[in-house]
Amino acid sequence: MRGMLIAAALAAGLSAAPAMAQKGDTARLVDISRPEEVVKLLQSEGYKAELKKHEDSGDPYIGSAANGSPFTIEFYDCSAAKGCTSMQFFSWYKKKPWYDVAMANRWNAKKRFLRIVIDKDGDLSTWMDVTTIGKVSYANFADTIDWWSSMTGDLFTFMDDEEKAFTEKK
Amino acid sequence: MRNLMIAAAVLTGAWTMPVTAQTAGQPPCGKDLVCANAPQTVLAAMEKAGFKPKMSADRDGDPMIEGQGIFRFNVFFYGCDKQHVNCDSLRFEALFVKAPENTPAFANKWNAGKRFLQASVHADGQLGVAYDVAMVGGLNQRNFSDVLDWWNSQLEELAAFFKAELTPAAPKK
Repeated sequence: MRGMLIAAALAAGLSAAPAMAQKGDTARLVDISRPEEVVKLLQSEGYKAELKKHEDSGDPYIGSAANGSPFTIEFYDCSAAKGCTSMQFFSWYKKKPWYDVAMANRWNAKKRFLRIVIDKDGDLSTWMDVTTIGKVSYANFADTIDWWSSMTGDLFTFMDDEEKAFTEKK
Repeated sequence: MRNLMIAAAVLTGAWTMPVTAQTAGQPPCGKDLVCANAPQTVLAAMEKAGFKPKMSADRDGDPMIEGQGIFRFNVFFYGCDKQHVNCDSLRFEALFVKAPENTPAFANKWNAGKRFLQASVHADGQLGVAYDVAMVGGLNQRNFSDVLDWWNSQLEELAAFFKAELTPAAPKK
């Protein structure tokens, strides 16, 4: 299949590649529709994780970090009885001179899992959406976290290259 | 926007169901699960959801499933080994023919406002939308059925997005 640049993240000493992430229990089911459960799962995978609430809406979210950079996990369509039906990993990076929609497109056309966007202020957002209905195995959620972490590591390599190309062009 | 069918099955008849071999690392697909290392389980779930799936193979010989929702689409299997088995993730992808509106700004507008689907303009001018799914350990039927639901409903969102963004405004009287 088309090449997937997880090697870069590995070379940079970042998180393990998803392909190598066949750790964890495939038999143990975890309920990722529950933010408090996701906090524990992140922690057991070695990530810091703190459950928070949006002041305006009261919706839960988790504050965490990967590759030395903060990210949040937003939860959608939540109820006390059923938990939440989906989650969204999110990270944000302040505007740089080399950020533009063409750069975002270069990423989106070639990389998997992580959707990157340049907003109207020129800042960069990255997202990954995950369905949370019906429970998943521990191994599968560990794989999902690995994808987020390794693709974010990959994005940093990509951005370094983009910065270099921008500087050389000037 | 015109939807494009990817010319897929290069290896006519070369596709065979993966041997139930327990190759590198991954355990075999558990009972009632949907797994990337058991493509027929993905096919069966898509069949049940009404996507009229057809088993095929991509250019490299890895499994690929053609499906039909509001648009035609393909499901690619990633992370497969050299024998084209033991894959560990999926990518749902729909493509649209080259057109003037296929710009990075247009794709960025979708990406900024919508969920799950990653839109981009490819080097050949086609517009693509994709949804990647981690499959290690397999997904249960309920969870995978929700994956299919998201894909389907976001394709419908995309059709509405095209309509809203690309329909010329009525001339002012």
